[in-house]
Amino acid sequence: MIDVSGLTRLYGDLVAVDDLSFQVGAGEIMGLVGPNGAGKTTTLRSLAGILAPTSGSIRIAGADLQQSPLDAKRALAFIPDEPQLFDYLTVEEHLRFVARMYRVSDVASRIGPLLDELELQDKRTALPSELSRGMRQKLAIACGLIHDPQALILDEPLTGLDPAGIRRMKTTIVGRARAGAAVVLSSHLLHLVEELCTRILVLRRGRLVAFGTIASIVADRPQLAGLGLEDVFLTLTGDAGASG
Amino acid sequence: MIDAFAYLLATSLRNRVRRQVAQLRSPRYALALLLAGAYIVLLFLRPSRLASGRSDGFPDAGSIGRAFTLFSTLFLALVTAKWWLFGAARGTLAFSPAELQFLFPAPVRRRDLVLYRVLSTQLQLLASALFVAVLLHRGAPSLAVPLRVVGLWLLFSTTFLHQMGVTLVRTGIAERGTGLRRNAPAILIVGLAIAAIVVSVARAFPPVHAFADLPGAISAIGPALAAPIPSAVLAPFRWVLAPAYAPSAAQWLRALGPAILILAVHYLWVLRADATFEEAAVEASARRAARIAARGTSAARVVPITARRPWAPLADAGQPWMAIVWKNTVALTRGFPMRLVVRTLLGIGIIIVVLRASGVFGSGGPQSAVTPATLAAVIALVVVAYLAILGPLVIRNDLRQDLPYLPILRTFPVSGVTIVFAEVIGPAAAVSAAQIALLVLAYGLTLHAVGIDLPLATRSAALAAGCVACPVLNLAGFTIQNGLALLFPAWSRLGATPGARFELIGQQLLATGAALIALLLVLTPPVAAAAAAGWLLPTPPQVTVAIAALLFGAVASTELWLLFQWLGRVYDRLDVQSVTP
Repeated sequence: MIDVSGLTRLYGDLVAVDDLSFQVGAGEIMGLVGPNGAGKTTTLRSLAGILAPTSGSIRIAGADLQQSPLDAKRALAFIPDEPQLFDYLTVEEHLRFVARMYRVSDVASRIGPLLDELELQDKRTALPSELSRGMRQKLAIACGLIHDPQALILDEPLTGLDPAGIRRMKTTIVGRARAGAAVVLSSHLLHLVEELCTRILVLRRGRLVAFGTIASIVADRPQLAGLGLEDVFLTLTGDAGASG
Repeated sequence: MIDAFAYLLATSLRNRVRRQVAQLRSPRYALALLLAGAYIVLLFLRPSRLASGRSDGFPDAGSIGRAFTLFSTLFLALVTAKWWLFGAARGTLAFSPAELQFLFPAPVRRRDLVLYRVLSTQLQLLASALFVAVLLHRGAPSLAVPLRVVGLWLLFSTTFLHQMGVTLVRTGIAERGTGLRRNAPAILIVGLAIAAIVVSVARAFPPVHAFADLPGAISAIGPALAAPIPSAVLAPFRWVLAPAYAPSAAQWLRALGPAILILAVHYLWVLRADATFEEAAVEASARRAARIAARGTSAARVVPITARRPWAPLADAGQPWMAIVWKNTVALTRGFPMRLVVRTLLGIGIIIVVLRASGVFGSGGPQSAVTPATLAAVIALVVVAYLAILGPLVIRNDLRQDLPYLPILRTFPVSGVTIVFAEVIGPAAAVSAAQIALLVLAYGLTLHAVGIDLPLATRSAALAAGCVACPVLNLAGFTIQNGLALLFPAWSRLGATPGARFELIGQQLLATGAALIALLLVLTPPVAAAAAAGWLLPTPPQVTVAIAALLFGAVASTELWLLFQWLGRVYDRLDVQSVTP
């Protein structure tokens, strides 16, 4: 569903992402983890078609993001960590607008259930300036889900949500994966990654240092045996000293 | 403490300058800077007609200067009255979130915080003073620019401190909850001052029977304000303005003392009013922070947004680009300062009614050219011209507003060309519709008017030409403004409309100059094609006009289509980092 091959992205002389390759299949949730500056956001933005790769290729639902960007983008949704909403559109109008951009034909029947799912029903006519941070995040998530994407890219999706919102969001992510979406989720919350993700990809200074299930990553590295996820992460990213 | 403030301000300034200079590594920005420099030299630093002492029909610079000073004094007095009665800009007290976080919990005295706020604005005030001084120097070069800069800096600093003081006083009054009673002295003094000026001017204002009478009536205002009472009321405002408008170094020197004294009094006043400083500053900062949080942009003075019903619902099915057009036009209606426009129209209406009732209009009999209908028609045409010239600069519900959302726009399955076209077409269509409605209104209002030199046939032709020209001009104007934002995002005002920040004046001026040049270039081929048709075709005039109009539209459309193709590619290549906060 998401097929990345040799992805490299440079900012001037700085190599933000270096020769990254991985695949995420339908129904999978891949956790993208790494310390600050590891290249997670650049990777996510490249997957979403926001940044053009310096080299390499990205295929979303079979469509090459560089060669057929519109086909690829129709199949994906990107939900950034900081909700970016249009000041002048209400909650419902945001959903109608995004649906129109993705040519969703049955938007009227989708809006109600989606607003119920994300507990935004009573904010239907509110402007973004009238919403709390958490509600703005929920609206951004709703906008990402309105066209039922086959590939879902989430950057710190739980930021700003209350405990009930976090639980509901986790259910939503798992539900979308079960419905056949390929999900890439970036988060610093390692327990969330452990709970939700079927595989994790660890980045360090733009390079892939580990990819697979947590069990397989530990099994391939005897020095990680018996360590908790946090220590595994710190060891892999070279920040083990920070733990002690 | 002042050393820490100085360090913070100096370091921030240094880094900001470094960042700006670093942009010049890009050849595009370096070339733009060179062109901008040439533009400033040509426009502002060359000698003007007034400066060269020509007198071919121009009034002498001295009388212009006196009139300018008189109206500036009146304007400053009215604005000050408005601050006291309705509140001043709270931005004078607004700290950035970082300043609020680090300075307020720190062991810093209140007066040090006031001092910091005053210090932190000095660069903006100086830059503004320099800019205005250079502008004024063209018209009245007798006073050296550095002296003028000092005079203007005194003026700007005093008005800044005055607004700060007014905000502190009004906040204190509101917090103590004693409203009208505590406010009464200020309201009484300001009310009496306004009454003194209004009565003096009204007594001296002769009746106006035609537009030709207006200059005489306006010239009567000066002597009226020179009477003892209005003169005394306006004295502080004259003193504050005097160094800025002094025609010679000697007069500047004489005016300096009173202006400095007023500035010093203001400074002491603000320092003494510091009991409510934190509350007022936190409130002002919170408002600004809320706006920033809500809009993801820098501090802005914005029209409050209300979730009015959209002018039309967005259909569930259709072309995606229409959704962007709909979004932008909804934003235009929701952010539109409707209250201000209604107030202005009401004010104009009241003035017309009062003038008519008092015999100013219509007393010249049926032959008088100045009727309420013709006046309304003139106002409508002025608004059409205003929208044609300033519409693409002022109305920014397009890519300039949306570029900070580039990460979201990029994820939509829509091509760059389509996005650019859709972003531009909405505001251009809205402005064109408003202009055409106003043109039709003006035409209708003058249908039966007498005393207008233009025959009806010519007015009809002008209406038809306006209906064709306005959309083309608007589309070209908005495309150029959006193109500038795409090509020079670091020098463009992106996001929500910022308020009148001083450093933006120069930036805006450059954008205006660049847009005018680009507009000339874009319009030259279609105008040339239409003119050639007019010269060469042996057809009857009506047919020739129709063919010329069609040619004009066809050539302009082709050009704009090519422009959109190019800007679409620029959009696709645009670096997200350059437009996101």
